[in-house]
Amino acid sequence: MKSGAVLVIGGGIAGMQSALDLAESGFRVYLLEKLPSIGGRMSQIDKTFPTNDCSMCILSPKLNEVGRHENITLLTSSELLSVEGRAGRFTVKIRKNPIYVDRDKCTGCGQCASICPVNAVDEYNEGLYYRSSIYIRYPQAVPKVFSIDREKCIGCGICENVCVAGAIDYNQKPEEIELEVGSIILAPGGKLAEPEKRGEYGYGVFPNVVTGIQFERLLSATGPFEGHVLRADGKEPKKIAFIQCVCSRDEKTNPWCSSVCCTYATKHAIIAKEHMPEVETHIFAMDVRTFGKGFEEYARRAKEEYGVIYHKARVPVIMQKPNGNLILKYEENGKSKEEEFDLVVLSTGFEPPEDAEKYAEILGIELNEYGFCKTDPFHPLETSKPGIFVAGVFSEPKDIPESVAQASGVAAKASSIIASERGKLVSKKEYPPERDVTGEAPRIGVFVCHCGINIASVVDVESVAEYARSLENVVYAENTLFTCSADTQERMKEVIEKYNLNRIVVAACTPRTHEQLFRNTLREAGLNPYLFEFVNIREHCSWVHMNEPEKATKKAMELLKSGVAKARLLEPLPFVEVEINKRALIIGGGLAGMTAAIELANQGYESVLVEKENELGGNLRHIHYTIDGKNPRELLEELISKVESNPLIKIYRNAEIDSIDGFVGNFRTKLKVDGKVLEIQHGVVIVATGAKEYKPEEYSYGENPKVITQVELEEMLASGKTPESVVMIQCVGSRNDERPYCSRICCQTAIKNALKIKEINPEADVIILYRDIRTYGFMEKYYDRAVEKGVVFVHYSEENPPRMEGDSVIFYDEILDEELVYTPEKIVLSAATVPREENQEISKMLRIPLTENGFFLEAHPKLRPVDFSSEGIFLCGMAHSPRLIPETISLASAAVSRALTLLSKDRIIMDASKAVVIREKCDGCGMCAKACPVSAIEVKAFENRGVVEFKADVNRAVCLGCGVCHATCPKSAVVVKSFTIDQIKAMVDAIAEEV
Amino acid sequence: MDTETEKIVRNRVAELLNEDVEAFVVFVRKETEPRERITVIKGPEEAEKVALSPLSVNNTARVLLEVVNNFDGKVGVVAKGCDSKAIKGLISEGKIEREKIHIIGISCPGIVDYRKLIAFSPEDVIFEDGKLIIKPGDKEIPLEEVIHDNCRYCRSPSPVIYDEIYGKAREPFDGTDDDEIEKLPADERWKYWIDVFEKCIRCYACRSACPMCYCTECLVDPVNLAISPMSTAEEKAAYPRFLGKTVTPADNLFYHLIRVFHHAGRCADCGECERACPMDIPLRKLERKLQKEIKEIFGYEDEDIPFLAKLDIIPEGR
Amino acid sequence: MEDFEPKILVFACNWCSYAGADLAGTSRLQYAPNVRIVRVMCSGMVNPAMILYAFRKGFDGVVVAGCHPGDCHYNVGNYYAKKRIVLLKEMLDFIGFESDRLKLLWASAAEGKKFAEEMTNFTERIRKLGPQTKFRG
Repeated sequence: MKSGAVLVIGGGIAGMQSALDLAESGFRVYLLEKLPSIGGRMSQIDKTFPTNDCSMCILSPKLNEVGRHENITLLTSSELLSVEGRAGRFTVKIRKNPIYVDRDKCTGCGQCASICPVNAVDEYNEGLYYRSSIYIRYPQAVPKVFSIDREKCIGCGICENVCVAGAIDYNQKPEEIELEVGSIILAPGGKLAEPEKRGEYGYGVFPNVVTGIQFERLLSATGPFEGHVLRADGKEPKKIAFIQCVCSRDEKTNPWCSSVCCTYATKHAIIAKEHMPEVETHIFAMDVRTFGKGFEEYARRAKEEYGVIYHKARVPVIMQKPNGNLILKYEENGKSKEEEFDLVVLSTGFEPPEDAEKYAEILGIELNEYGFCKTDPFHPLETSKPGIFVAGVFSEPKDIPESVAQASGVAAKASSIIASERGKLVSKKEYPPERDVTGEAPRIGVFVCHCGINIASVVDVESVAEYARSLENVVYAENTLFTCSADTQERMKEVIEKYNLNRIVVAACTPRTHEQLFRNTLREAGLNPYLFEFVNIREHCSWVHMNEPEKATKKAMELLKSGVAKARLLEPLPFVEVEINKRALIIGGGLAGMTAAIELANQGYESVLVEKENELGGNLRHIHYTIDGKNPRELLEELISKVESNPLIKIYRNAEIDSIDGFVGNFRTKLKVDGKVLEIQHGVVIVATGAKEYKPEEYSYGENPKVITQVELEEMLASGKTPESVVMIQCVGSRNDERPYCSRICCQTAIKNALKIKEINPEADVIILYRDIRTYGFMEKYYDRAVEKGVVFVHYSEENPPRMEGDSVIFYDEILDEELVYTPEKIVLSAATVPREENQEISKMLRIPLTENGFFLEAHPKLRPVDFSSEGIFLCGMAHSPRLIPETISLASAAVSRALTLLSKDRIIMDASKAVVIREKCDGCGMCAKACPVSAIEVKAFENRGVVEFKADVNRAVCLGCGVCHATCPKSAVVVKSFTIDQIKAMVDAIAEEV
Repeated sequence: MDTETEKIVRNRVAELLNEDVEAFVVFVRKETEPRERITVIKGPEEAEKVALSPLSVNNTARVLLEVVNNFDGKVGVVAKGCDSKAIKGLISEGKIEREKIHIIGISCPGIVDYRKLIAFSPEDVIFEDGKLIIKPGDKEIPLEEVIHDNCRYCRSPSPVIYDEIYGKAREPFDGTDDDEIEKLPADERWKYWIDVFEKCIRCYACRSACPMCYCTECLVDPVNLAISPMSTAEEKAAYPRFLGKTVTPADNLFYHLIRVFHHAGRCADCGECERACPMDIPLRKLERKLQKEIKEIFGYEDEDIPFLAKLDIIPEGR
Repeated sequence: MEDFEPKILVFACNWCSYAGADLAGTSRLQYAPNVRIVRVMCSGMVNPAMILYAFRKGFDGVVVAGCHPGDCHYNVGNYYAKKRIVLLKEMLDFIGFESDRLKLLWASAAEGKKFAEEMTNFTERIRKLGPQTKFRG
């Protein structure tokens, strides 16, 4: 018997994403986190590159989603004890450590922390600040439960005295639980290296040397100095140095590249400039490795717009001056230099997580030579043990989007072995039938929360409830100690029935965390959940006007009045239900497309794989060997035979997409195959159109037969011909004005081919002319190996690129400070990877956007790497951005996982708060349709009493409810339900009047 | 618009009505006074009535919009620069099908302001070489003397969309739209406008005359909904009213600001609102200010997508 | 003017600014109690007519608060909000109304402190401007 549950280890962004994908596709999830709250490293980050998005803004909705998902059980402050069994059915023992607070009783009000007399080092702020002994890791933490740090607690008992909920429990004991799960996902993240290992940087000794993550906290508005970057002596720095590769690419500590630090340092330098426009920022890096999507453009902006200065240098030592300033000595362009800074940030890299060895032992998985989880390049999401999968930094250092993509990918992997158990362990809540309230006059019930003393100590909540009773249509009002408590929910249901209420208003905390809870209670009471209005009198009133109780009380009354005014006009909204056709259309039959088709088939879902050429395989057909010695031909053959033999996969070769209509769950596509047009119905689309090698116009390519591209060199090597001497030129067609992006894969391709040449002929001359060598992650070792084998690397700058004269290459050597001329047998261009032309067409047909560079633009570069803003359409492979085989496989699995959240359902239920056109007011001018960010509106012909009229029409399955249409329409003929113009106006009217 | 152009247009209208055009929106001269009005003619025999002169003041787009769907076939229209701008807007907003209309474009020398002309008590007016000859008395006055102020600021006297084109246009205005009001201190600006809007009686003539104010239901004054048989009593009751029933200067200002706002990038600059206003409110000042700002701040000029619907990413600091 | 207590209406977008206001609360950052927040899903859903209407109803100041450029949950809603408000402010200036009474604020979910400070500063700014009587009419 298999189990339909999955254990996810690690509650960071990767673990959260895996948990959500699994829970949304029919599996029960246990999310294990050793800290008291989930959110992981991302919760500490101020801004995310390359968009400078506020990290908490994008994380916190996900935190809440995980926190309240009925199929996700959070096991925080918990640790893994043992695992037995095998793929499909593991028995897992877990210890829930005591937090000395009753998890069910604590409401997260924080009264305890505000009076706790203890000052302990705040780990969340990386030791730059203090916290109390009873604490919550950060304000938005999920679960919103405080915990006592017993090592720091002095046992004074004050918190117990002030806790109105009676949640403090000093005698809480560890609890052991046993779970049955079908598969296990490892996403414990990584540890940041301790820079003390590089004593020469003086970390921990020099007060003005901080780590990158500390700097992140300094920049954060929720950090120790509320976003002011200050030195230890309280002065604002004027000149900051960022030192890269601290404990990365370093034989003494960690030889691998940590992949993220160059871009995060770039971000730090940019944000520092935004905080302090006068500050000078210098980044010291051997190579600037901004290889991710949009990162190179980001670094260019840092240079050109923000004046960030990059030095191609490794800093060997830092010295401190008596005033605390720091002297950096380094070599640049062969010259020794010395420069003074008043703050130094060490960009520390990733190491394996602390518990890596413990997990290896308990789970029986292998670690690699560096202590990270061992994976196979062609199976990047699988550990050495079946049924146990890995995502995120634990398998290799990587950034958030790659981690999130892997997290989705492992969710697909983990569920594929227990696909038969889908839906068996998830709870489907049954609700009583909804009472029809149409035609009834509003009968409003009001609940005014004390929130212990959080609201009641400032706002006179009794008077507020009394005031509520005086409002028209309010038939019931009461005060509650904690409106969110389980007993109040029961009481609310009773009251709804007893007083025949048809609208509920709760005046308490914020809808952002508690709205779903109350909406659910309404459903349980047989009311439509949209007949609920939330009034925030805590975060927006009692907590921000603590010293003005009278004004706060008056404000609370006004806010309540406006909530009641809106509640009067609330309408029951039908959930938007969309039937899901359970077939996928996959555009592109390369590595990504075939992987996606196979993953879908493993889960029991049909797909239609459309390839425009007459052969499957795409770019994979041109790869003959990989840098790590794997055989891509085998992979190709295996994939082709799998897709060809699987009855769930229908393949069309020489096929072209003619048109795609419809929306999530209900797409209709016309295919042109061999001159015939056929129609396919499907529920989702996976875009896997790939990319291709640029045909250079530089270096007389195409005219001079000695000049070839890397792909051509690889074909040549594979056919048994090996040149005696080669010059490779990197970044041909990339990182320039026309194509400002980094093509990501060419550095490794060059080194791969260089090593191949050296393997065949160790005497061959290989020179690589490069701008930055970007062998990120564990690929760094092949860079080292190439150097060992005698491959010569010569740096060139953007301003002074190599040039050709006849058959010779002329290049400038910075160290020798002279121009060199060399005439090799072959000149190999590492040509850019460019998007396919057909992306333009597909982008128009599916109404999905492209980046400026012509690749597809995902819904969010950080947290939704394979989704589009339009639902039901997913992205993978090089159509997203240039990437290597393992990364392509991860992304393809991710797209499948995201698609499964839809395909696993017969119908999806969407939020009902959507735009609606009031037809008789609509003139069909189409302004709303033109403004709609997701093209959810169309002007259509309608027949009305024999007359054809053109009116706007909203596709509710596509609409996101943002309301841009509403504010654009000159006559408000389109409104967003629950935020209609009359509802907002009623609120404004209510607040405008004095209480 | 000289007599020569008038003749050509008259002939073309007749010819087109003999071909595939079913009806034509044209100007005809009134018999009782020196004025022209817009009318719809259907037969080629009616074409001899067609007039075209600086007295062809009104915007033909509004009438075109009202009648175009009453005919199965093509409808012709005579369109000056501003008329054509409105027609272009109406096409892009899906109100008129381009294929359904035939536009005789008129490059416009400017039109007469009746309020200025009336000072000469004309019984008839004849046009020659950009001059007006007033009957009786044969007094010659240059068109510039009685031209509509709006034409002085006209940026497109020549049609922006047409099937055929005649006439000779005046020089397009190429200056900035700075209004002297902008130089006044804020308090005086306010005083100016509130005085102006004291006068407004909210008769909505501006809205009725405007070719772009075609909304069947106006946000600031919903009238039709209240009597519509299709809306429920609840909907009628719940439909928000932004303005009171009584006329106050602040309500008037609200109405005009929102009305103008909705014209962002759509205004045809024809001046019908001002001509229609019985209280001489300088409504064009608001329209011109708005159009100036969207051009200066957003670089918006003559685009197919209405300004308010267009996505603009404007740099921080504005 | 000393005892004048301005009344200020804030339209705050659900995803960033409302969350920023929540964070101001969780962080117990005190600000002027003159502010009333109305939650909207996106700053892009705030109708310019509603802003004028708020002035008409006598509010002394109106703030439309949304996500920073690039952060919008719906990608571009805040850009629409911005263009409308920039234009509306120009028009308000033109008629001699103090356009400073209308503010477009970018506040992220992490900017509790900024939100609180902006609320206090805006309240003080409006207090200096005095009661809004022009539209109250």
